[in-house]
Amino acid sequence: MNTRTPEASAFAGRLLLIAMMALAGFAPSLAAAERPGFVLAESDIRNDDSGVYLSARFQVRLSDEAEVALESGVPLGLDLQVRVIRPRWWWWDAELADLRMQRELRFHALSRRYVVLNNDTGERRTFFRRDAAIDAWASTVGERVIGGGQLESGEQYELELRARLNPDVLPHPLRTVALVSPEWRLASEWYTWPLDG
Amino acid sequence: MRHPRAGSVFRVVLCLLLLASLYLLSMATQHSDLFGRLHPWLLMVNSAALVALVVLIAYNLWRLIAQRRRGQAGSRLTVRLVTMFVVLAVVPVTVVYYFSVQFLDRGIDSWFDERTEQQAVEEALRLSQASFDMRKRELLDRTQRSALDLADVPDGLLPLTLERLRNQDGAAEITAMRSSGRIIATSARAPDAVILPHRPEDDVLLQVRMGRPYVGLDPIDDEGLHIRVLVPAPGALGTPDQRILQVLYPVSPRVNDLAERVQAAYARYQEVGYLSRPLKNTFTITLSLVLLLSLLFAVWSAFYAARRLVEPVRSLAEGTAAVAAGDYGRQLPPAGNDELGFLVRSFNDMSRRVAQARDEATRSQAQVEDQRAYLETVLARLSSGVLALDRAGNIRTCNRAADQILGMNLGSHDGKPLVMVVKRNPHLEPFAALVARRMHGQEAEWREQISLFGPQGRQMLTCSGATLPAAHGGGGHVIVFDDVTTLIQAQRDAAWGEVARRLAHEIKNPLTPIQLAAERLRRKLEPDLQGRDAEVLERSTQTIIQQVDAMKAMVNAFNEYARPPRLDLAMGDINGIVQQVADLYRGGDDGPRIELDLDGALPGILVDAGRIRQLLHNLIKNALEATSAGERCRLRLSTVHRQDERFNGIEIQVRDRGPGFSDDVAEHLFEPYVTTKVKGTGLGMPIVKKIVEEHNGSITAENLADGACVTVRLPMPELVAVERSAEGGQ
Repeated sequence: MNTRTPEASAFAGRLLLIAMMALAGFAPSLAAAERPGFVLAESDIRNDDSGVYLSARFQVRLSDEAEVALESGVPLGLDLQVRVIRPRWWWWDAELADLRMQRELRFHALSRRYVVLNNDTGERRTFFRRDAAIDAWASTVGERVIGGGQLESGEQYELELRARLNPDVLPHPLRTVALVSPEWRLASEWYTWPLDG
Repeated sequence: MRHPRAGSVFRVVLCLLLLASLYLLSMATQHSDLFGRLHPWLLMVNSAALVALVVLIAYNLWRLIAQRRRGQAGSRLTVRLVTMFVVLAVVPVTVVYYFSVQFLDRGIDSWFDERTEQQAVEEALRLSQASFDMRKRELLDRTQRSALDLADVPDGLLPLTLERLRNQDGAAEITAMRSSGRIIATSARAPDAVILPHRPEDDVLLQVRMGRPYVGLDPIDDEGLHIRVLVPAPGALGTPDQRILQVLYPVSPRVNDLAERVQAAYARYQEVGYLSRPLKNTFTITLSLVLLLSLLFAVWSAFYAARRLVEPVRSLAEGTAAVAAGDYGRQLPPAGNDELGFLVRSFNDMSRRVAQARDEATRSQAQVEDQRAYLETVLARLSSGVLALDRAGNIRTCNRAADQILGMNLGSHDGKPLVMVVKRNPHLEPFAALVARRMHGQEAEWREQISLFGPQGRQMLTCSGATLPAAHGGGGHVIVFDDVTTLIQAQRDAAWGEVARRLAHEIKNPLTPIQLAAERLRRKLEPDLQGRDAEVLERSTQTIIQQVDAMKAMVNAFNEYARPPRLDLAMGDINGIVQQVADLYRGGDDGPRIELDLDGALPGILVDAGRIRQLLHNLIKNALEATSAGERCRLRLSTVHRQDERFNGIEIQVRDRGPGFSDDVAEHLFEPYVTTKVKGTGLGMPIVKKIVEEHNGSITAENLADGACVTVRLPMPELVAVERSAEGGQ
């Protein structure tokens, strides 16, 4: 996770502070992690000339329904949605980037292992323990959110992130249920960080 | 109002859309890929339709309740029809729904409860796992032996050793690492893996660090199943750090393939087993939605159908109420070609005819009214009195002349029996008795003259009657009568005038020669006769002369009576005239004692003062002559200005304390030669009457308790003025 390049350390130092402040702000949310859903556990934003890189890990508490489904071989999809926006008081915010990182978690019965599939890269990792698998499922490391040239210097931007259980990858019968059941409507709130151009 | 056909088309289109949506929903429920993605959206669309239908039904229901509360025509029938339709729709749909859900529930449950199949899949998995477990143990042993080969091998030589071991053990990848997980060296069959070996997870490393080897099946990316073995390996001499050896053994392609199939089958079975509940829920939701939509659509359509059915009935009810309230001619909108439409057409026809009949009746009534007004006008202008009675003798119609002649307002007694009406006017009883008698006699036509004695004196009526046609509940009697009193009187007066004129003419001429002859006889013979003869002559001629004088006076009186009216009208003061005449008689102790009661506010009136004086003289003389010898005559002269709806003029009354008029005299008082007196010509009262009539007045004579009273009424100048102008015109 902490794969900082030396040249970005100045930025990173400042941003780490912001991230810590943000985490301090999330403390009540962590306390509320007992409820099924996603709560940001760690995050790191690196802003250098090449672009903005995001590392984040969500603490996940699956609902009973989702747990049973996972154990029954139903793959669970996770969407990590990242947006970079430029707030405008006179109009809707301008959206500079909108990323969707898709992960899939499923149980491999024969090997008794959990498989985490990164749909974007095709990378597949297997885990003996479920919590480790879920950690890998609900985290991203050094993901490039936006290119360096896209942010104008002197402008103020915001980076937003949220994790959400993707009902679209659920089997058809579950999708209908997922629409109406809160057990399946698992999503974190939007986490926001200020970004300097 | 929306066109009913447009409404029907709208409903049909809506129904088709709904059916299409439900069909897609059904397709989506059956795992079709395309529709499967649409399923949630279809559910949402249909749910929205459901809500819309609920809103529509609620609106319709609210409208119906409002109509029912207002008591609008047809609302009760609409409620009944809607209830019936709804019950007809709900009951079968509920039954089907109940059994469908039951069937679905049990069907899916029984499908997934196939124990044999489930067990087979599970056993296959267990078998595979057991088979792999054996293989894993073997490979663990092999790896542990290989690990021993690493003893005393420095890190630099490790790649060669690992390469050898890999080839020896038939491994896909072999890696030596520090206990921290740092890779020392690796050897792999695939060139990529040399650069980036498949690292074990931290938990496994921890386990191995604690001295416990790890062996596990690992599905590695696209390379299929591998058996991953991690064992502690001895380090190089002098290095405190222990090594870990990780070996990835490939599974033979056939076994891999079989294992993957077993895994896939198991996973699929597990998934489907787990999904049975949501599947059931989905099916149930879909089924419920389909049924609810159909049901609500049916209910909504029930409102529409009920309204369509009831509309003509409602129109009919309103139309009937309108006709009952008198709004004839109300036309209802057409209502198709069925029996209700026929009913509506019939109603329109009936209403139109009723309106025509009403218009006809109104026209007839107007005609009758016109006729009646015409008749009334004609009757009112008739100088003859007309009185129509129904068969029971009740007054139906009368004209103004009838009122005037009979001296009472018959019109105000419309519908009352004539016999009862005349009870207030006893002098009319002979008239009522005559009518009753004639009506009783059932004569078609009759004519009779009767005389009545009323406050105006004797009144002669010529009555003629006829029975009215009895068609249409009519019948009764009509009596036409004329007051011929004046006419008869005029005829008598004319006859008397003629007699008087002839008398004057025939008698007066020989009287003067007789008188002259008697005087000459006396003058011639008087010197020749002496004694008794002379006395006889004197007495005889004197008698002849006196009688001739008397006859002359009588002839003059006749002449006076027969004289044609020649009035010298001037505005006169009646009080003054009365005063002057009264003064003439006041003188001496044996003269009449005259009291005057004069109205100070008497207006001036156009009269011939000389004639009025003569009138008063005659009346006073008449009273004096009626007074018994030796009694002093007491007279009371009064004047008053009367002004009411029947008379406007001056009334002069002369009252005496004499014996009054005897009954036989009273009847012909104003005719010549009617007198009770020894003296007089019998022309005093007729002349009085003549003067009164010349002034268009009236005179009545009546007996009072202490004498007689003669009342003279002179109308006010307007009438006289008219009379004068008429006279002047002639």
